[in-house]
Amino acid sequence: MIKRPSWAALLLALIPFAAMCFSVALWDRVQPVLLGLPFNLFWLIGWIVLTTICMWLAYRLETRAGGRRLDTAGRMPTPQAGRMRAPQGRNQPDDSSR
Amino acid sequence: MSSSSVALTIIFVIIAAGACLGFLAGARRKLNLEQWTVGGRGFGVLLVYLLMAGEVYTTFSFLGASGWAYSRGGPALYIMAYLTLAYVVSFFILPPIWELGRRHGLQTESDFFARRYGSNYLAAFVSLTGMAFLVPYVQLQFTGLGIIVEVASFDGIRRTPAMVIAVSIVAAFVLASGVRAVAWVSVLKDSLMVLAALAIGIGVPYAHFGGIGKMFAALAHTRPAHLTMPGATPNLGHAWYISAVLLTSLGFYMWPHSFAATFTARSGDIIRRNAVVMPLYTLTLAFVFFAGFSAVVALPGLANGDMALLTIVRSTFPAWFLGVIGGAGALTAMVPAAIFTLTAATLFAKNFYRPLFAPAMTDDQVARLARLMVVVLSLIGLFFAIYSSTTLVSLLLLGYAGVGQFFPGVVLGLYWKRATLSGVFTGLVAGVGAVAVLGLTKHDPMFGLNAGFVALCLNFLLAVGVSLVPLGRTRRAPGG
Repeated sequence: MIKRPSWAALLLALIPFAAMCFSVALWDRVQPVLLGLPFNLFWLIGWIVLTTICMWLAYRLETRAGGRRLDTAGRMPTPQAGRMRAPQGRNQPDDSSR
Repeated sequence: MSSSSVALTIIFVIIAAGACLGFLAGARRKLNLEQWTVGGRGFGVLLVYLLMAGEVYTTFSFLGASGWAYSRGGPALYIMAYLTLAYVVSFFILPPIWELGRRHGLQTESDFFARRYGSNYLAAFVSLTGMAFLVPYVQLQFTGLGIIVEVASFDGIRRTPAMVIAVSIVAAFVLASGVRAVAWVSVLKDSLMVLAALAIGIGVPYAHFGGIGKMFAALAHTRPAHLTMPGATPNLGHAWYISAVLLTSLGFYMWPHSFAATFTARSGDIIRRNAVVMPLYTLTLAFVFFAGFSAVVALPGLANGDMALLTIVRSTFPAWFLGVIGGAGALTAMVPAAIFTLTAATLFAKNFYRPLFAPAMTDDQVARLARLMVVVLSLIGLFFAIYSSTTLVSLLLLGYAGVGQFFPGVVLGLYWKRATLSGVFTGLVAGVGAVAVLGLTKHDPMFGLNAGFVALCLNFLLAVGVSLVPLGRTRRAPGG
């Protein structure tokens, strides 16, 4: 009942992990100093920005794919239609604020 | 007026402004359990963003991050990586969690476990674990507050009375207005915090070295090994970095308060968009690091690294500015402390006490018990803050080691139909047990790896392995 993310989106998400986490041995040094920053700090700051770009692409992919699946298979019901009772049974969501 | 009274007055005014904002935000609403805990599920992009950001930027990122940059050096960089990567993970797990929350009226992380695995005992265990590991995070905030007042008063006010006052204010505004208050006070707190970080990160290196580049050149000259891993530590190398980043980025949204914040959103798309934008917020942290690194050269030999940021601010800027920074820092401790106690108290009342001991309790009674627990938990956090002297970052790493253990149960529960109650329960108990044993026997790091990560691997293996063993009737394949 949960829509799986697409492989393309997962691959896009793997890029920041590879760059900021797994490859640490390759970029953890002071030289070359860029814009006055040690290389490791410069690398991480750069990848914070690049991560946003990766995730923006993933967002585009996911919302497009999600929209298509929604239309054809109708697998994601509207929240109201699919609501059931909470585990302890006494907590109906409060609709007053909506 | 003396320097210390100027600084303290400004800090007090900022705290008072924050508290007023909090009381006003909650004043005109009927506070039932749903309003108090998840704001009636009606928050849009802005409020969700504020609430989530309000939880992320705590005393930890302010004093703790600069403290580790000062006392540990290179290994502190893990903080920038994990905060960014946590949002990448959230992009995939939060929208489906939100979806289930909407469908089944979930309010807490334990509700999710109860619903997915059909066991109140698992949910109760998750609640107790979540509560236990929120205590060091609350303690961290109170310790930070104590440090702020101590430094701002030029050591005139002792830490303990300062913490007692702050804890009373935090408890009062949680009791009065719930989660909506917290989101609104975050507005004030975050604008102050970002301004403070920029001012410190640029101002301190300029005042002492003539620029950020010159500061790093001076640091590379005097302490060449400090800027890379393992920095000033004997054992926090690259393997530790990778394991710590993985544990903390996967564990980030396993914090019961972050998990529950998901439910305040009006739609799943709001959460996805949040995940795209939030990494940019991590850039603030770079400026906090600049101040910590400056202090290494400008103020060597401080006994407590967590005091580095404020001490260097005190020796660089006029007293009124120390007051502004101190006020920003105080709100940065109080807002998260409010969220954490609120969440932990709700977990105790709703997912531990009621299902196991008093199934007949009404929601109103649960809300009353939760309020009582806010006071109890604040006092526990205060007790540890007064009697322990662990660094702020170490406290947070301890918390992550604990709550990170929820990750297998959540991700397998969302995406793997065959995950069973017995598998996930076994993995979770083993993971939490391993964290406790490794922590108490001082085996962190273990083989150069973060101990929480070692426990998480064990947890994952057991969860998958036991789920695959056919156990007849105990297997469940529900799901919401």
